[in-house]
Amino acid sequence: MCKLIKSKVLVLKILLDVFEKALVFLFLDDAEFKKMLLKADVDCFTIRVLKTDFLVNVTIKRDGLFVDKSKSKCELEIIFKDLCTAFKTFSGLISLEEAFAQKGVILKGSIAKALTVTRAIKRLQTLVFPDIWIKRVLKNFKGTSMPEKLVFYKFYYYYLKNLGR
Amino acid sequence: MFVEFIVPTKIITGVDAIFRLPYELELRDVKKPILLTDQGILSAGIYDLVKQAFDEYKFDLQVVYSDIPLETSVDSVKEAYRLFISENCDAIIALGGGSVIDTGKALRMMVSEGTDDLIALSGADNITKKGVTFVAIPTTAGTGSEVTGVAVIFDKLSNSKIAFASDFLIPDVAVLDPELTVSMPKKLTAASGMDALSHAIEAYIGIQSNEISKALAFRSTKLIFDNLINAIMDGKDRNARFNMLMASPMAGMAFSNSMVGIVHSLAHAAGAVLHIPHGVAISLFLLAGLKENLDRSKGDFSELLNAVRCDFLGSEDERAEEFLNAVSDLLKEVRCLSGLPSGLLEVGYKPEFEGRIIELALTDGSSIFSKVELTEEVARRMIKASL
Ligand SMILES: [Fe+2]
Repeated sequence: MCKLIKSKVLVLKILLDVFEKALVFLFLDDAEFKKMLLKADVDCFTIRVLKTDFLVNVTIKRDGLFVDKSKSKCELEIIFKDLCTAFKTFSGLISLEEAFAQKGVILKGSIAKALTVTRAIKRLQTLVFPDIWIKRVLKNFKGTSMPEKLVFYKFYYYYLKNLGR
Repeated sequence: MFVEFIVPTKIITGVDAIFRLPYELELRDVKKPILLTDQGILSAGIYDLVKQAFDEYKFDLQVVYSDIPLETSVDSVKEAYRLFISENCDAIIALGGGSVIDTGKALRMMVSEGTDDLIALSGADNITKKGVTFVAIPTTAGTGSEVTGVAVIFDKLSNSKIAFASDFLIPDVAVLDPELTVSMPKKLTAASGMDALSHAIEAYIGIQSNEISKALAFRSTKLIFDNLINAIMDGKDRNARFNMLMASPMAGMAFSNSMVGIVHSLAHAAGAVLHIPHGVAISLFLLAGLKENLDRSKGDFSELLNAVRCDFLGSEDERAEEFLNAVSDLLKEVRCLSGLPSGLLEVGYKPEFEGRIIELALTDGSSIFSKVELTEEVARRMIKASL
């Protein structure tokens, strides 16, 4: 899967872009996702790949969620040990839970809080990836509802409209 | 499938294994270890047994920290850290149950990272250095802590249990001497034995289960079914004690690499709310948790039946059911012999605790490794089935 990692790097960049935009969009548009993320009770968390520039810094405020590329330290840091595990996770081939289970992730901070963030990201994967794709990855996946499918289309409309921004 | 498996601990087990300890310290150039233990170990005379092994040697075994509570806390780790630094110690020996060994792991982290801010080290693989020599001498047979890379420490400030996971927490040496476990009371023998059984079974059926962990978990399950009752009935049965001491690290190695599941999620949560020992909480949720796994783990349960009743023929479904029956029968016998509680109501559970237990269970790391998604509905069902 990851043999041609160089060509995957570009794909990973695109996937990270989708991920960042999905975080911002869903925080505003999906009440369930927002509730799950706020439950983690973290002001800021980082997801990055060890020793690379792949980084998403997420600041959570009640009124919005902000994503940037700064390297400021957060109370919760989720760090992929290798590019391949990151690629598999962001492309929906494995869940973030699975990445943790495979010991592919370093976690700096509370395991309980990270698990809450992980659940929220699982919701993001459910909404952003097509059912046929994500059902292999998520335990007990029963398919998305009509309103959830609507979020999927709204998000990609929003994403394509903001492409390059 | 992706497997990462680590077993760095030298295991020394058998009658008089404790007498090998001075050599192991010498081998690692240890001059002045700190010995961590608790008051129960001191009063049971177990510390004296260990000290005997050092009588003729030049080791300084004077630095002893024996105030570790049943549920270790950030405060007691910090106290041990201060003693370690002020006495210029160069190794850690943890003599006791899971709480004492977890204290040793946390102390080693602080020493190797050179900080007394333990909370800052929480997380997974968040430690960068291995640190000083660390020897674990378990006095119970069940936690498997002597070979695992996880520790849980209670933090009074946040009123929560903080979890740590790192390969650098795994002890260098584990000394398992049955003589040190013969004075273990029936109830503790039973509770820690059920904990070991849960480690073996949950490691066998989890999403990270693999051929190495299955081999260890299978034999561990067999040893527990064959020896736990004897160890409870006659604490001085050294053969049963020895076999339980083998079963515990085998299950520990399996679960340290393949992790546990929803039985542990609920047990951790109920343990925190009801203030009951880990092994007791495990014994209360074991059957309910395994039943939740039945649909997804029929093949695994059917295989595990070979460790328990090799004469049972039947379809995979029947064999899986039969394995759960065997666990249920063992639990009943263990409760009858040891006085372990048979339901949550016996340990102070009230309906108003349900919400908090579920909330804690859903944020417990163990559920990540379960094939069954731990939802509120599943957690509620498990509580109801364990009343
Ligand atoms: Fe356990």
